[in-house]
Amino acid sequence: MIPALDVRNLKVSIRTDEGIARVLDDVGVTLERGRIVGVVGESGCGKSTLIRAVMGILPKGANVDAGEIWFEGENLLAFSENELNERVRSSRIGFIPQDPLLALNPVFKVGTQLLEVMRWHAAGSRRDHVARLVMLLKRMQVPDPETALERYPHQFSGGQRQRLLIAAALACAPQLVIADEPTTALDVTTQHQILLLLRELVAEFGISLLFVTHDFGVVAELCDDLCVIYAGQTVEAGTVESILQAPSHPYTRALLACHPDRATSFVGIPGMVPSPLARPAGCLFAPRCGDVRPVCREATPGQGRARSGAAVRCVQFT
Amino acid sequence: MNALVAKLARDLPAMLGLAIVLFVLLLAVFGPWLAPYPGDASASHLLRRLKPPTADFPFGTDNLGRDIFSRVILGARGALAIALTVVGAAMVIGVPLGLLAGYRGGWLSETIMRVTDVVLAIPQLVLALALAQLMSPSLESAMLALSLTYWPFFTRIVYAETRRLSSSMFVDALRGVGAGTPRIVFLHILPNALSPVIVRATIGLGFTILVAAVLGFLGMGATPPAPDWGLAIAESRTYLPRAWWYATFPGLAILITVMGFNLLGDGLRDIVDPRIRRSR
Amino acid sequence: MSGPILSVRDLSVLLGGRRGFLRKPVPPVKAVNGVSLDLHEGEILALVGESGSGKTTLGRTILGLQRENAGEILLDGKSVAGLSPEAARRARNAIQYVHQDAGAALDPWWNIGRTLAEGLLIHGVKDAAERMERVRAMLSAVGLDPESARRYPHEFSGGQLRRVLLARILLLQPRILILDEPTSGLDMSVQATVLNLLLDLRKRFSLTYLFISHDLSVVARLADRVAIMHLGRIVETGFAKDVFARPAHSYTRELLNAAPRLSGRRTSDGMFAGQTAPVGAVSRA
Repeated sequence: MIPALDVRNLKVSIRTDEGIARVLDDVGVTLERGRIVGVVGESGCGKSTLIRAVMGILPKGANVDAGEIWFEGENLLAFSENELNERVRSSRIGFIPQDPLLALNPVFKVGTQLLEVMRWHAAGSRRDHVARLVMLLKRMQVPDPETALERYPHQFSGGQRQRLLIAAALACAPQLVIADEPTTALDVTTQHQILLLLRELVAEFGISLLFVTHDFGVVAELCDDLCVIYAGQTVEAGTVESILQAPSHPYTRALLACHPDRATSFVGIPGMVPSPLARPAGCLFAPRCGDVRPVCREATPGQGRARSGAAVRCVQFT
Repeated sequence: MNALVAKLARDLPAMLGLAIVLFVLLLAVFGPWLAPYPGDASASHLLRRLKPPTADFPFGTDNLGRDIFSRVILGARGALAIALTVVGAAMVIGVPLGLLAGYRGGWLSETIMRVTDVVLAIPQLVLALALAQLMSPSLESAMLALSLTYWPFFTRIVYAETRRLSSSMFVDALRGVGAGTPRIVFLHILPNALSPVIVRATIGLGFTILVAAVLGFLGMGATPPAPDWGLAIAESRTYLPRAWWYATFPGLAILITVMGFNLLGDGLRDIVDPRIRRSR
Repeated sequence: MSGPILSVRDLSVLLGGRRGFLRKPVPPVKAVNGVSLDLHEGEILALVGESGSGKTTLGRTILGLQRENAGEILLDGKSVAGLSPEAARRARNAIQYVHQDAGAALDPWWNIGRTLAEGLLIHGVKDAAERMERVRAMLSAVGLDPESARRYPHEFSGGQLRRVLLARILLLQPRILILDEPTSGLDMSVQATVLNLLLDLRKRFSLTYLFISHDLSVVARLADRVAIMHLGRIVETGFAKDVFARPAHSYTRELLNAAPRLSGRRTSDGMFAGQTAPVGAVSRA
């Protein structure tokens, strides 16, 4: 069965005032149908750029140097802007942004904004669209779904706004949904409800979900599979269970050791993430790695496989 | 600081504006030494009146035989003097009022801002004309009128910035550390509020030169025989279209100078905003 | 063990509210509603709550920048309540506040050396050379290069700015620090470093922490005691390991159930099973 989304060997660089920044330097993510994959990385690792590349909204000055993005058997990188708008965005790939307040236009009613998207991408009359939206809002447990469409964004709480955006993402029945840290700005209890909701929706609507976050706890609760990104490279990928039980890559191990649930003392990871403007030769994590060997600084390690079944980019496993 | 200068240097229009402004500044300071006929600020040579541009007189001569090239150069001093005085005075009045209104709030703030609104409604030219009637037309009356009508712009900007900064986290942190109001307002809020003020002042310099030229043209500003650019255009009216050079060159001087200030102001605005708005 | 270093009794704070003059009057909200708590010397007391719980308002009221409407605040047994913000800050100088957003808490036009020295200047250190010396010493103490005193806030990373902020208030020799969400928005590895630094500083400077946070994982690991806040009231207080193992109040249970844990999907009771002792535990004499 072909995966819902298969990003392979993606390399993206951005021209900046200080030189060329290699933001993504061989990233791969595989999302199987009907599953939830968590893309985890710290700030600056390139996960936002990854999402933008998939959506086709890379900033000006950004260039895809290599790689493919396979979506339902087609390479998205080969699509033109028009084709993406008409055939892919919203209709087949939905997007849940990080900050619901910023994503909604404050001067238009919620219904107007949601219906606008449906008018462009979904077949059917306006009445069909309204009916579908009300059904979705009811499913999201937004109070008073019928009148909700007539209200303005500021009349909803943060959690309710995020539910509206989830409804918007699902409005045109996409096959794939990309969520960019949608619960970071929410309270703990609200976040819990949204995560439960997302789990149910994935099962009910048969969608595949790509969930970007920096919180391992959220990944543990929500996701089936996991992909860890460091400095623009995928360093470990596999199921959540296997990686959390037995992390293989030194970075994954170090990162999990920082989590308060596992930390015996608070240490952090010595050193700093290499700047995308100046990548060291060899393994990018070598300067900070506890298991480093001479060969690590000479050549980039290839893809190996750990005993847990996870794909690992480390010389210990090749 | 270096990053800011470097960023400005990459902005070509801003660099052009800076070059023009510096050039005009140069003319203003060294005018009497740069002009080929410095005496033509006042002297007249009726034998060579209304001559078209030649090698000796690159911009031609005016109705009193004076070299227009020299008078354009000498006019820079007057133009900049008016601009700096007016904008300077407007800032001296407007900035403290904005600080006062923005920091405390309450009825004092409301009063100041309502007075500001009223003064903003007064058209500059009309006030200038009225004052000219009262005081007899002169450069002084023009400068007074322009200063009195320009300060509200600064008050508004400083008021908005002060209000924003008063509730900012670093001012809160300063209060937490025990800083008193004078320290917070003058050492912290004021420097942060100055950036948009500087942008506004730069563009205001250009704007003032333009308005002063209009007043000169109307005879409500500089008086003959001053080498004022607006005055020259007024004097040239009767001799157009034959003596086209008489109006063209002073007009170009005004155009280029104002444009220079505007371009520089725009460039400053671009480098000033992102640096402050972007956190971390 | 002597009495608590800080005590709050029946504290209430009303926020918002507008008198009607030309506008419709709006009644104020009870952001803090009859809160009492004790802070013991050397401990880490975590104040846990979600947005709207009043924890930030409580923190700012204890600090003094927010004036209380009713109730008592005792510092070393002496009353320091009922003061204007400026007077309160002077009387409660032993309490300092660490803001959540370190970058925003620093004046972008001042280099950090000057910012750090300013606190000393305000508190009467007149000699400039002495100020600079103390600033440099404190920068080293928090793990920063003393030479970086010349640099401006935008030249530092988020983690470094947090250290700068800590340095600034430590120079004022406080005894109690109110930490407002010190780990929120931080990457996991940076968070660990910050927590390590906080524990280290507490030991070195004999500090007491009031730790405001909504991150239960961090609180479980770090805090000695915890107070759960909900809608302006404290609904439960106690030793962290007790509260997390056997929560008494339904809201506490709800919070614990909702917190994402590395152990993954919920067990049926949603408790923190098998919790080991907090990393920063202080043994009580």
